[in-house]
Amino acid sequence: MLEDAIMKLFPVALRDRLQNCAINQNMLEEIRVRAGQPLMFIFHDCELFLHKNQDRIVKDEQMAYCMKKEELEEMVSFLCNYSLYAYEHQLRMGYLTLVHGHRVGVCGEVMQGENGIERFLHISYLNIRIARECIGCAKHLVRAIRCKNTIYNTLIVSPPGVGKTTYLRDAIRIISDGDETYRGLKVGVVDERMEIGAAFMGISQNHLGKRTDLLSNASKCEGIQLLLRTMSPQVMALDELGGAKDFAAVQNAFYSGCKLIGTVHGYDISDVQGKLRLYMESDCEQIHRLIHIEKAEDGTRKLYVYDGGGSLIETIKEGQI
Amino acid sequence: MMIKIFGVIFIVLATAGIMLAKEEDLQNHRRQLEQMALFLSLLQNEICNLRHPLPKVLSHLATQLEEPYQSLCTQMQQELEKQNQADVGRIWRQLLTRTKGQFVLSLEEYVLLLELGGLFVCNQVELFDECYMGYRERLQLLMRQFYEGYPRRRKINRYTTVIGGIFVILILL
Repeated sequence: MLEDAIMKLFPVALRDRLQNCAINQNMLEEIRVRAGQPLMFIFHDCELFLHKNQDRIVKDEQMAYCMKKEELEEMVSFLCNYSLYAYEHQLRMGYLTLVHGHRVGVCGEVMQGENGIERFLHISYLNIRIARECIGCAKHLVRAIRCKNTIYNTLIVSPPGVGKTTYLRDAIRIISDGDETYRGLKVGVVDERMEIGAAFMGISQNHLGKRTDLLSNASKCEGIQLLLRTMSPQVMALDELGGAKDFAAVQNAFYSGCKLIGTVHGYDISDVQGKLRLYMESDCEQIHRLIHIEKAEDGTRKLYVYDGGGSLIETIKEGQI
Repeated sequence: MMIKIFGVIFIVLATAGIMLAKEEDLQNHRRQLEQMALFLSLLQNEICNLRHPLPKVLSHLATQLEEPYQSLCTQMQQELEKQNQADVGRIWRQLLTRTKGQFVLSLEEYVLLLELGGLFVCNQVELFDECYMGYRERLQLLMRQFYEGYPRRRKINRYTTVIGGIFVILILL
């Protein structure tokens, strides 16, 4: 069944119907709400719809219940705690984070200002992304990047939607908590897009470990500086390293003696090595591990562990995450 | 003779009691009007400057205000947290109607208090500010009228109760 935090977003009239449908949240990935379009539940292998008249979920689009504009407005009202003005900054980023780390992406008509999007005039589309941690999935990945009592500077590489952030999140937890062989390390996380910790009211909704300090919604450059100045991290964790600024910030972390674990978009290792040479020049030699994640059709993952020079060290076969 | 003396004493005491009760009503009225002004001012600060979401605003307000505004804010916060209705203005009006007996405001002042629910529906800070200025002016006018009439009302209360008491005593005698 859908948990309370998600159920409360829906219009009151729909809540009883959704309760009666008994949707399995464990298998659910997204809920798509569009004004004038069918209410859609996206699972990892199919899309289902709420029946227009009955309290059940169906595959047939023709029988689907279509969301009214007023219902969507009601949902936005609940989403923002009746206070749209209080969430203007987050809405400008295009999403809001709920308790337990679920994210609601918003879309519609915006008012453009001198500095970009000023505010949303009409919100007509919502995407409720169900948060799901995968505790233990990065066990082998962390084993592959251990180096005495610390870790190698590591980048996790894959195309979008393969699970980089999921692996990174679990890796942070394992590094932070430590185990029988290795003691835990102090990890500083700069969560620019609030996907790693999915903080709600400043507190991480995901398990990031006992020795982790989370900085949410800050840019990587400023975030790294702040954490280095105040929280003395031994490991810095970053998601979605992209442009020159991000890599410049990473270099600052290196100069402070901090180890790095981060994620980068890329289809293969050579893709990423090109970026590193371009943005970090000689400092790219400080990256000692590149982990390429490959997703098979059946949903299982393979991790290819490379050293900094691009030589394959090992291949790890994982299950579904 | 003794009965008449006791009667007179009783009437004097009753007259004093009535005078004190009316005086207290007037004081309550003044206090509630001032609390309404404080409510409006705190609301403006919380929303425009601090940009807190409404449930948090109301819980802060409840700690700063006296009854009956304190319990009104607390109940409003609880209703918003349940998220059983989307129309905030309606929730405010329903709660006020339920707690009407606790307010000693005049009709105009009570209507203004009901209309303040419109502030909760403002999605933008600029719009809230404009509405707030309008409500503040109206409230200031009502408070000015109250303060201007305040000494006169106190006098009327005293004189009417004293005269009433004397009249009853005369009838008794």
